[in-house]
Amino acid sequence: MTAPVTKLILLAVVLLILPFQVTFLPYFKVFGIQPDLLFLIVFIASVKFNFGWAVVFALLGGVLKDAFSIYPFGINTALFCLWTLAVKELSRRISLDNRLIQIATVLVLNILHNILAGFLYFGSAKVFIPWAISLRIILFGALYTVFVLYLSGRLLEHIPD
Amino acid sequence: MTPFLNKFRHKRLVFVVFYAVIFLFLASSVPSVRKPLLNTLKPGFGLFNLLRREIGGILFYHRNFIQNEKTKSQIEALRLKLNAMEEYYLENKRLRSLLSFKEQSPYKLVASRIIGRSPDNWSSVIIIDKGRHHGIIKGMSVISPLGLLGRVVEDTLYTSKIMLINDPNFAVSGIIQRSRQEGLICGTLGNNLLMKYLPKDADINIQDTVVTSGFTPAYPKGILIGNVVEMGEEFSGLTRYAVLKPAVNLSNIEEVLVIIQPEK
Repeated sequence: MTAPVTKLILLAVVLLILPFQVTFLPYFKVFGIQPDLLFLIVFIASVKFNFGWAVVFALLGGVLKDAFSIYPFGINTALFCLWTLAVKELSRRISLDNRLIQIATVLVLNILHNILAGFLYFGSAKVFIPWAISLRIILFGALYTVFVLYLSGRLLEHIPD
Repeated sequence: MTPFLNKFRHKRLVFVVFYAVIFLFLASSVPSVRKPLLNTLKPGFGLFNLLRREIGGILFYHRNFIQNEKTKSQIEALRLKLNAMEEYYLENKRLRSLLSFKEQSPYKLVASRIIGRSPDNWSSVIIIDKGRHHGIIKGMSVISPLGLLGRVVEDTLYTSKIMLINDPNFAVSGIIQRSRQEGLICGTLGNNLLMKYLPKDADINIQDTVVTSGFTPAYPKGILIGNVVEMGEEFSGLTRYAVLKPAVNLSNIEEVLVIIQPEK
């Protein structure tokens, strides 16, 4: 499969993943938490493609997620772009081809994403979320996302650079 | 006899047949020949019978196996139909209950289906298949026959986003039905709700029913919210809180009712 064809396929996957994440994925919630498939697609694009295309995927994924959110538009778009930049910087220092390193990177970045998203969503509002629920969302959400990455690990190997 | 036999080409065969007939005649008429003969031939017959039974069994098994496979696929097809019928029955039951509630309710209601849920874990939002075109606008209350569900936070022409009661940004004024004690009910993203700002001497017990107070303009008075399951004291020690179990199971709702007019 050539790289341009792969990009088009992944773009189509992003457009399909969102309806899937909104309609079917809630039925796969564990302890009320679902994995973030759009985050995974953005990470895969950041690892496999050049910076330009990675930003395109980050923008597309972020806009789609923001469209279905009730929080101020742009939070997910900005965060996805930030993680794309972080992954690109990280890939200059260490190789992200190793599966374990990818899993660890996704785990750390998703934890940071959940923490930052929580602060940005609720930072100025006087809302109360119990610590246990917040930790569940931050940590278990990241673990579940990483688990999905592990299951789809073979997919990464077949995507050409 | 020889001239007689000369007519036949296979003389030896004629001799064998002649002697076999004689032998069989004797055997059938003389019991002492039949019995030993039968006893001698019995193992051979037994062997042939065994072979016959085995072949018959194989053919019977094969026939049964084919029939079994056909029956299994028919059962699977019927099971799928049965499941579909069960779904239709349950949907019919739900919609009848919804229609009955809608007709008896004092509010003007619009029924809609849920077509999606929030894509992230920090919010509790559903998307329904009706919007401004059907009279739904931002700020309207959403209920089910069992109780309060949430409110409309965004509307488009044909869809609307609804914030559920367990979303942290949701808040509604509620009262204990028994004692009329008022408090503020908020979501916590968990399975339960929190009723805050209760005075220390509030008359509130476990299993008390909580309904909307009507003080929040968006929510008509008297809509069931949930029941008290736990009570506690705030960190400041000045007020108390109560944990409520919502009347509606938010994870398995499929249809909702939007109140577009509080009184008919």
